[in-house]
Amino acid sequence: MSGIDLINVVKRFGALTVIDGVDLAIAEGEFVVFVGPSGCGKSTLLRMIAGLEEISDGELRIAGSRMNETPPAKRNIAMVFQSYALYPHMNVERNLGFALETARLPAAEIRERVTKAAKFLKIDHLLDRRPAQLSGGQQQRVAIGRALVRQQKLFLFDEPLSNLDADLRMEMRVEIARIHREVKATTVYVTHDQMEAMTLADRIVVLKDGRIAQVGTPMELYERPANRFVAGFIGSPRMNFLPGMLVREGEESVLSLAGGRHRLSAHDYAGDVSLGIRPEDLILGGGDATLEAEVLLVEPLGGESLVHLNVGDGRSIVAKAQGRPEIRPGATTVVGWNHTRAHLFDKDERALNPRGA
Amino acid sequence: MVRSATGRRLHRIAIYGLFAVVALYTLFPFYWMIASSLKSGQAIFDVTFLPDLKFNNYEAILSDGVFLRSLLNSLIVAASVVALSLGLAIAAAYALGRIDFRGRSPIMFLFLAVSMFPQIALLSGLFEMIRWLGLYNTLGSLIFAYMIFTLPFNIWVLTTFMRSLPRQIEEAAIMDGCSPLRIVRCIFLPMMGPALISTGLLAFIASWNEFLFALTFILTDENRTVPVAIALISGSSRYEFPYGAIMAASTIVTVPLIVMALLFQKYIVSGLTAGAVKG
Repeated sequence: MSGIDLINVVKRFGALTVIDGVDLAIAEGEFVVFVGPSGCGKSTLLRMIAGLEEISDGELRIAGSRMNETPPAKRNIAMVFQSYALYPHMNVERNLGFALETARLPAAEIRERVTKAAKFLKIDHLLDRRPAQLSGGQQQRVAIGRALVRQQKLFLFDEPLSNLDADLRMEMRVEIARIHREVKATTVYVTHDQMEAMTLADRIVVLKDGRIAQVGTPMELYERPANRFVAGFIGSPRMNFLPGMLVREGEESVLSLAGGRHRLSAHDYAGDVSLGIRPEDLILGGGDATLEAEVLLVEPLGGESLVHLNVGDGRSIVAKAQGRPEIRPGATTVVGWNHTRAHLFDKDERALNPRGA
Repeated sequence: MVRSATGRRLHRIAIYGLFAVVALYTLFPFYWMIASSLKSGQAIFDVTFLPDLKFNNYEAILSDGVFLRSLLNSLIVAASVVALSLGLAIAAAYALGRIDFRGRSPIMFLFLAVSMFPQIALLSGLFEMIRWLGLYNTLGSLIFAYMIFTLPFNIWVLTTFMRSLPRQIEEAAIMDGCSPLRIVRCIFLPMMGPALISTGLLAFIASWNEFLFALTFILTDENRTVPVAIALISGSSRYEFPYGAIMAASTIVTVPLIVMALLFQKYIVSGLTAGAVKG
């Protein structure tokens, strides 16, 4: 049993409330990613679990017991920091073994565990080096190794990949996924990169202004965002939003956009809405509903292209198209979508679903 | 900057010229001291710039038990001041640099203010304190007094340095189960090497060279430190002022400082500038 329970957890710095009542249960062995824009409180929440920040209100339970007052070292947690935080004056071997040394484990066992972790992370040839003599990726591996040797049931990662370049980031992402698969420790991972969140997480927790905006599996968040914020945050390029008006007409609802009126199945809500459609769900030249648009720019990405379109009122949207569509900037085209792939959000930015859905 | 060939040459001559003037200005007194110490008897009153290479002044001063004793005293005092003030300053720097508490910056400014008082203003009050502590005419009185000017500086420099150490390293150590003491001992101390060397060296030099307190708080010859001992070297008659011996003694006293400064010079610079620039 090494799940984590956050019960109405609050963090205040003076008059400022940074975490505003978070409830979350993380199951044993689960890989949970906290994601959100900077300042949303994701790192603070992680540091509260670690014990580096005090909990102002609410309760933190690890493996069922209250941990609010337990010092970090006694929470049985291993943590990987954004800056790696390696001890610069120690070689890799001592860096890895330092926590065990602190816990006064016998030298032979320290050696054994360090060697094993180093092999596992493919850094066994670097044991004599100092951190300054390592590349960013290698430092990252040492930082993860330092957490691994402690053989804890709980891993915390605080934006571990944000200091790496794109290639290494991809490589380490795969590596972290492998570690989790093999070690099976409960893992909480903080990132501002929704791509990392999508690829690594069993469940994603999207945070906004110190509150949970939505919790769910990556595909749930992608397919059924609970609000406009999550819809815009998950997925790349971002979801397009168009303002509109939803009116009830008998057994149907009618959505009026700048470019036309569209009949939808009945919604209980009427009033201002925004329509959200992901770039990959926009279809050039077809779909259930269509708009006239002027092509602004075509960005070929190789296998696919991003087409920037002006849909009137100075509003631009982005469509993702396979291959390289035969259109030129300045041309007029028709862009459309299928109603099943469109998302509607009410004026409070909550997702709207048709009646009965 | 682009210059013509002549311009470049002139520029270089100007720089080296200026350099020579500064070097002459700072090094000539030392040179004169060493040259004089190597002259014997009346030769010291002849203005010659080349030394005689006569070592009888050194023989005389090194066979003088009182002088040797004062060298030892100076070493004891300076080493104790370095050890004590570094120990206390590290503890204070950890508190002031790493722990949030109310009144932290007033305390820092208090330290700065204390180090601004002129020594002479402290003298009578300090004298009373030392008498009251029973330290009068002991080396302890000097160790006690020198902490007054070494501690504020050391605390100030080490606090700045401690603040510049990444906080995540400390947090990593906390997660690794370290107590504050172990963090300071195993993580911060090794990382603070350059700062410790530079502040320690400056404390050593300051205590080694100090004159006023050493003259006031010590009564008898066997407890004197070197600067006072040198000033009190007297000739064989009251009409003879032993310039040669004084110069030889001064040279002997200066040499360890120069050796240490050369040995640690790269640390001194990195220690004093670290924390000055945010990395």
